[in-house]
Amino acid sequence: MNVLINKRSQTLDVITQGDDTGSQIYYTGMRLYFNPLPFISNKTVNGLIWEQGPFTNGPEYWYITLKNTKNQNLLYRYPVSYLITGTTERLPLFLLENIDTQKSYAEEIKATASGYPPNTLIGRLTFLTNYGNGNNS
Amino acid sequence: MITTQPIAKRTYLFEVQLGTIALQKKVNLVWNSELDNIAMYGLVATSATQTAASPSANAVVSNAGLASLLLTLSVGDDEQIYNYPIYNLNPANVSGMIQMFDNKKVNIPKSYITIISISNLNNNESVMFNFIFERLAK
Repeated sequence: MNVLINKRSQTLDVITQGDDTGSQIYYTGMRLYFNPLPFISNKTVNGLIWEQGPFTNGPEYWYITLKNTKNQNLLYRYPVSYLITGTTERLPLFLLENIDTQKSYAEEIKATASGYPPNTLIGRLTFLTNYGNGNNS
Repeated sequence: MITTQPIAKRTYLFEVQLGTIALQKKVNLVWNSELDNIAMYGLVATSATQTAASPSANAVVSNAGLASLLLTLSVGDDEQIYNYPIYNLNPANVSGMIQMFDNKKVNIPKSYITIISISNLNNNESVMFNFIFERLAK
């Protein structure tokens, strides 16, 4: 059994953007880019945890692509199903350097398209690091 | 620390389209630039439970269907991983274990899937693999 020693972690809300509440802003197949998360720049990420949002299709339709600051794929279309505690009985281990969350994105892949309005919480992605010095920086 | 799990530095989701299902059919993997010069040290096969649809909008093989498939991975022309049961590559079937490999420089176009039973398979379904790897210097 793996034990991830969580020295410090931070969670990113993966959420559809925009303020036009009457329309849909994200559709299946589009890339939903993440917001900045300066906390993990220049840090090593050892673990990832995904929590599916309440008003979306299930995690079996969602994938994340994490890129580094050089725009190289670190994780390409990683199924979020494997990042949910309990589904595989143990969480995978990672050694991910220099993640650039603004180059990274989530995708829904599905035969029939769905749409989501602005401010829909698709999921929460938690980054676990082995870095910690007593303050959140 | 001793770990039985690979520590993923890079991963890549790779789709294999099975086409028409037929007994003993071999389906070659298709060359992909992202997997051209890599050392693979872990491999996961997902089922429809984890990944419901493929990037090309095909249905994904069910977990039961994975038991009808074997995987052969070549290094150069050498079939080093020969007829490995794909069902065992899904961590959900083996207590979350991810099968580790000895840094294989996999020759994708010389690797293939063999259909050993038509049970629980449907035409035009896809198998999804998640390669865990490190890039090799060119």
